[in-house]
Amino acid sequence: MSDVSNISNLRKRETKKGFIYNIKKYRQLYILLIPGIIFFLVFKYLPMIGIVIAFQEYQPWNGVKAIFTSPWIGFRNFYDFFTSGNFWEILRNSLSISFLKLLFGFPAPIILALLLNEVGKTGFKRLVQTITYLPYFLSWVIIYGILYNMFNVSYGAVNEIIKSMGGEPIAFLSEIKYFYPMVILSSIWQGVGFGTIIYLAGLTNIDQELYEAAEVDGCNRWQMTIHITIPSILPLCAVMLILTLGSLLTNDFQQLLILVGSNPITKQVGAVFETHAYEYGLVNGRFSYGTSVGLFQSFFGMILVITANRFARKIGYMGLY
Amino acid sequence: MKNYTHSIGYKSFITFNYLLLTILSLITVIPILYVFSMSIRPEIDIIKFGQTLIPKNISFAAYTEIFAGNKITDAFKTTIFITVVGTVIALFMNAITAYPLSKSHLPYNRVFSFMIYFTVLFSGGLVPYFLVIKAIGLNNSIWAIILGGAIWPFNVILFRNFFSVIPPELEESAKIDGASDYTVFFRIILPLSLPVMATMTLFISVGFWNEWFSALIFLNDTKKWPLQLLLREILSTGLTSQIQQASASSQAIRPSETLKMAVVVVATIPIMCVYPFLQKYFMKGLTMGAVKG
Repeated sequence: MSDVSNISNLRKRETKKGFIYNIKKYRQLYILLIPGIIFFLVFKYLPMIGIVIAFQEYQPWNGVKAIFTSPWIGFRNFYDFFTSGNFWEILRNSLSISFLKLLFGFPAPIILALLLNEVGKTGFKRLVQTITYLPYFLSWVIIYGILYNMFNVSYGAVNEIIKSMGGEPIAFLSEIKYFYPMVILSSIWQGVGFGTIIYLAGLTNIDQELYEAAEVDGCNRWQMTIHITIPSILPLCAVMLILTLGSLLTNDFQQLLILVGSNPITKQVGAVFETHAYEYGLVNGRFSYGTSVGLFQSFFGMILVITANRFARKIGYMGLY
Repeated sequence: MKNYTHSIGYKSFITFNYLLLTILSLITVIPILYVFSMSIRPEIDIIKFGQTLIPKNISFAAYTEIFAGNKITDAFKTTIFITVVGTVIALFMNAITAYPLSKSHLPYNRVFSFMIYFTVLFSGGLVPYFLVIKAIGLNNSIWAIILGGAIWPFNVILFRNFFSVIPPELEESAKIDGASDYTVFFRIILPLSLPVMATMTLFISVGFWNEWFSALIFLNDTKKWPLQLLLREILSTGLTSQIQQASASSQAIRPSETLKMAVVVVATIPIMCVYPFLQKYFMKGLTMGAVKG
């Protein structure tokens, strides 16, 4: 503990010595930082300043100067967005997708981690891990290609099986009632391996002596799971749950952009904030409007994330023994 | 004190578990196999036999068609360029940004760290980002994709955590011998960072290989399109023509179904090849990050 206070004291003492002195002393380290700083200023902070066009009627044909010359219209873009009829549909879609992903997608890696934990032989375990982690590295374009091949109406593998059993082929990819299942299942298919790593790491941190003591007391594996394993990873699960709740307004927009494609039917349930900002802001060229949609989502998303993080920290501390 | 491992309940659970995990693995692999199998059959077999897991006839016509023309090979070359150059630049940028931040006694360390991590919390949004890229003249250039992905805060954190556990004695003894910060970093710290580098390389290169959206919004010239974006175009024309379903002339225009799947395979092969080798670094690196984070 004293190391930490020593370091922060050292930093404070160093900082007090003066700006020029520090620049000289740590010159080389600061120089190493320069490219990164430039990157963040240009690619991250400059766009943040550009948010101002959400409050203007931005006229792009003047280039950058237009920021200073475009008329100020205050919150009218936001007002247009709220009253456009799109807003409630988008909010509904965004929250529905996030909620369904939470309901089905959140437990999946936990369960898989618990199952993998019960496998003794490391060879099989590693093989399963290797296989289930693979889809995480595939882009949504590729995953869509796979989905298309499996589920398309004419010759999709699943429809072939349905046809061979005497049924009618189902348009999985273009009907509204199948859209959310497609989104959720493909999301799980892609991401479950990744989440499992985190929970497995938590599971391997459990003290083995607890299990040994329980075995001496005559517990079977199921009792051990209920009384040792699950309570031990509950803090981790709680933290992960709260962090996931924090991104409720954020959706995997690349997935949705691809799965909806240009299909106006599925767009009714698949349009979310980011896709809306893309469509109206970039494709239709309404820069100010698109910026305001994006700003709404970033801003309230940030509030959610901060609140969730505060909450998670409280629970995290309570759960650690 | 009966040992639970001999009970019938436990044994049947173990069997069930192995079965379930095998099924899950199959569910992961089989769709990919279907795609591959679809790509190596003659087009008419789809109409004749429908889709089966094992092709009745084998034909590499789709692949010869791919590599005969220019479009796909050009896109392939573009993607390789973006991935290789992008990964090298990103590895370098992430590492040199993370190293000073790993020195907790560096004045203003907290300021810079906050500046970087804040961007995870809040961003300017899609439209302003597009306008900035356009303003600096990178519009319609693949460098918009390469430079835009140069630094990810997640990677900086990973590097920084790794650097901070390297024993300070190494640096101290080097500095006593007169080494500068640069020497310490490039000759001592970096060579020690090879495990992290391997993990990072996997993450970053996969990220660049899969990048299609930046290309979509910035590259007007279709000749500059990376593979994933071209693939999306190929796949979506198929879907729209399915919806339209009417015109007979569309037979001549749209790419064949086996061609689509062949392009999917081509877009996936490099990842498939690299993945088994770097996979253990990936797991180690993530566990390291997960425990720390």
